Amino acid sequence: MRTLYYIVTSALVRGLIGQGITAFVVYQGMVSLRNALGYDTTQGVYDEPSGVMAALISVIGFLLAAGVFTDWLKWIGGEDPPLKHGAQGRPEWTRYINVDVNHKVIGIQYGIASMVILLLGGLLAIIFRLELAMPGLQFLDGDAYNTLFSAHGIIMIVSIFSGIAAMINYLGPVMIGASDMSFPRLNAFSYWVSIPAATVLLSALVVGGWDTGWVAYPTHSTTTTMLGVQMFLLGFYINGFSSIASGLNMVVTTVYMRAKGMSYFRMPIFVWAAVSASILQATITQTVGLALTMVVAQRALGLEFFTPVTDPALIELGFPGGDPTLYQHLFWFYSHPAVYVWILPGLGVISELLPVFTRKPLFGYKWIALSSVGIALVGSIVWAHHMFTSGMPVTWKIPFMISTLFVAIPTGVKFFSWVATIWEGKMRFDTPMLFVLGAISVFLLGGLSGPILGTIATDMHLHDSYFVVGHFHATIFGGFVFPFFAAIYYWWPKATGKMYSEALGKLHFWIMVPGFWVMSLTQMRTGVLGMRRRIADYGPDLGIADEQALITVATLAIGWSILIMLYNLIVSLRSQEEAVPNPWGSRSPEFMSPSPLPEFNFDGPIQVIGEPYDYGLDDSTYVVPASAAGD
Amino acid sequence: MGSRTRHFAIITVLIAVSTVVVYFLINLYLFERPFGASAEASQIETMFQAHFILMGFLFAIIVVPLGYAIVVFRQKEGDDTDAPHIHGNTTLEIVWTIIPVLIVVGFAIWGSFFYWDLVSANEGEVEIRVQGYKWDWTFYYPEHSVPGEPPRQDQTLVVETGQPVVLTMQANDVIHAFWVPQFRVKQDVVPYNIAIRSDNGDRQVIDLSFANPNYEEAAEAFNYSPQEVRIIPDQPGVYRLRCAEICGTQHWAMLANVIVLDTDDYQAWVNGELTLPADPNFANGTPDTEGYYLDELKAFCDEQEFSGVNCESEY
Repeated sequence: MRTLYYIVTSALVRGLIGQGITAFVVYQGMVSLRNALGYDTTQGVYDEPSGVMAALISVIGFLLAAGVFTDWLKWIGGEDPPLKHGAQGRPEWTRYINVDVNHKVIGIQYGIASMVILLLGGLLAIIFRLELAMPGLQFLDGDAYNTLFSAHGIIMIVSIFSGIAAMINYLGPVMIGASDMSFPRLNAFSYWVSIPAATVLLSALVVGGWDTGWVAYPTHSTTTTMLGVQMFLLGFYINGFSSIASGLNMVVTTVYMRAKGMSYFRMPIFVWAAVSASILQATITQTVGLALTMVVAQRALGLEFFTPVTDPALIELGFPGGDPTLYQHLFWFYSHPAVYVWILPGLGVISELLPVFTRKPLFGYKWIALSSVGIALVGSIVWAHHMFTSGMPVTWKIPFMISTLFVAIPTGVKFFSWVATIWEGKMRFDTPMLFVLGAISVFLLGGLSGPILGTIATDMHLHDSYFVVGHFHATIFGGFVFPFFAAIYYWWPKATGKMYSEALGKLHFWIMVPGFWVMSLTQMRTGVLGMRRRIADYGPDLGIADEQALITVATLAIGWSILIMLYNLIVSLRSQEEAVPNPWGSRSPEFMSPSPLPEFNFDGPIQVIGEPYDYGLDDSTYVVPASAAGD
Repeated sequence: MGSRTRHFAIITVLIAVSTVVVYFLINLYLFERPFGASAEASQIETMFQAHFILMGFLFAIIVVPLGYAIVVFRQKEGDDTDAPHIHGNTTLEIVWTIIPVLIVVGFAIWGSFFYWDLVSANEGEVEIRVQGYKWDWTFYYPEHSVPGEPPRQDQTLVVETGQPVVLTMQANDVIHAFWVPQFRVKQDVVPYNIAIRSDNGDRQVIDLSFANPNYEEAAEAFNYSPQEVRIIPDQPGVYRLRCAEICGTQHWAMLANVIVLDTDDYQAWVNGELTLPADPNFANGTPDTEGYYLDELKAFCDEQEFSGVNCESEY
């Protein structure tokens, strides 16, 4: 009974109710207003302009009802409310469904959100993979298929953003020896704004679906009659606030909150990757916001940004005609670097875990640290390689081909440094290390299938084919999914104080890694043979039916292995056995504190007196309590 | 021989062997290319080969040391000590930065000239206009049209072996993409411009559609340049054009037959003496596998006696 009370009165439930009521009221109000003004509001599943307004305002409804703005509103009223810490007299678990400012609570909230959304996105993928297992349409039609793959794409992206935010939030502050983020309330806002963004996004599935893919190119996205497209665009847009705010927060935290002695080149390597990703997301998200807003505005307000109409009178005045490919530039200017936002933290996890499990210093710390920055920089000037077939002039394509190939340099530095770290290392094969090795192997698949897409001549064949699907999944699984799972296993005892079953963890690994290799390589193979992306059926004439069936089987294997992981983790929570504070023999600051970490991470300030990865060097220490440092 | 030298000697040999094995695996099985039916396909094949060799080498240079270290250096039972304290080597880092830079620069320069050459105009090319729309394709043949009359059109793309073709393309609703895997070329088909002329205050809508009998005039007046792609088809056969850009409900079914004929057959088609196989068109009703009209294709192949490879392996 009390449990039910805590749930019903939680910020999550209050927010959802607030969002629902706001959306309903605003929608009805807008429809009445538009009726009164003489507009036809009966077209489509819902009245589009009213729906857009309702969705936007509903986010504010959620945030107000959940209490995310409470402290800020009090500031406006002249009060100075203190930061609230702890469960406010409720059980500890209620912190995860209420607005909490502690970075570890927010990190875990993100982690749970990420896994829930991941399962949903995976379920959608399995549904349409079953459809594709055989040629011919079995149980989906074109619109249903299009909705499923579009939703799979964006839902997985939201899951990835939550996943990297989980790692950055939980680990960032504690790794640099801080007690929390610089802006704890903004941090809570970043998380809580992503929840109404997700509900708006998911509502797209129930208001008609959409068939544009996650890229939503005009003029298809501006003319499609599947009205879910608006909710998709708005959900994507609102999620951007979360990215920008959390990116800024992490950068400021790293600059100002480092412990004494924690110079930039003595930070755990994950922080370098996290900061590179944070700088990117704080600075590039705006352009996709612009692109999405323009599509929303073209649909709802009739502003013809992308309709190719040329009016010489307007051209004389300096207004070019609408241009469908303009969107693609704005979109990819964000969406290409966004991929680096997703993979940089994962690559950071790989670099972070390798020294621990090889008992050897990280080879070329500075080179790895700066290669993250290099990837972020080079990755920002390659976007038009997504447009090699869009009809750009050759003189534009070639510079983008060259910049794209240069991404290989910093990525290569990472790979070589990892191999050098492993070389002569006394490797231990605990579950997190297995996933790190899996990540390296899968990211290698993604990396090696990249240059062939980067040279325009070969890209003409492979562009928009299943080869790209295989390449993309390999980069994201290798750069995010596997490292994320490694991170979950590795920091699970630290975050929960419980240890999972190694046997089940290894089972998960031995199903998922071969499953993924088969899936990804077979996708690439079918793409070279002529399979297009985003198609509901491929026809028997391509001769790829066996391969398609194999991809589906591999997908199912991956799905089952992830369920094994969740089972393993959830069961471990009920175990009576307490995990030791430092099960892996790590030197990192978070392992100097008890598990789970105390509210403010450390008993007192800490101080850095040595290098982070000096494994194999006697008498070397990385961090000590500041009181013990003697000055 | 010191143990370090021995390890390096072993992995050097293994890397060399793996490079060759992986290259053959990729080339002959994993990334098998479809039948090549254009001069571009053979040209691009060179670049595929270069990439495959690079893939084999890079795969080997990472995976061999990784696997070797896992097997040889792993923690032995009862050994709890740390590994040797090696924290980096600047020379090595510079080497594995500079060598990839050289490879990348090489690929960039070669790739630029390669592509420039690939898309440059061919001598004596004829224009065929391709129009994509939800969810079908129409082809216009200005070469076989009478000026001032509606252009000759067909639902099938018919080209002649050895005759260079420039395909100009437009869409009239949303973006589509032209892809014939056997030609190895792809080009997005972007919605065409409807131009609005406002001389003397009169606003006049000019139709830039390929279907417009006065298309050339209108295009010239508005400096309209549609997307284009060049091919020199060189293998007779029946292939399929597939839309490669998501365009809505029946995107997957946006197909057209592409038929490459030798000169005699091509002339017969121009004179209207050749019956083409049925156009795969799903516009009516729910498509099933029958909608691909594979039997018709097969019959046409047999009738034309197209040399085995393309017809049999594909259909």
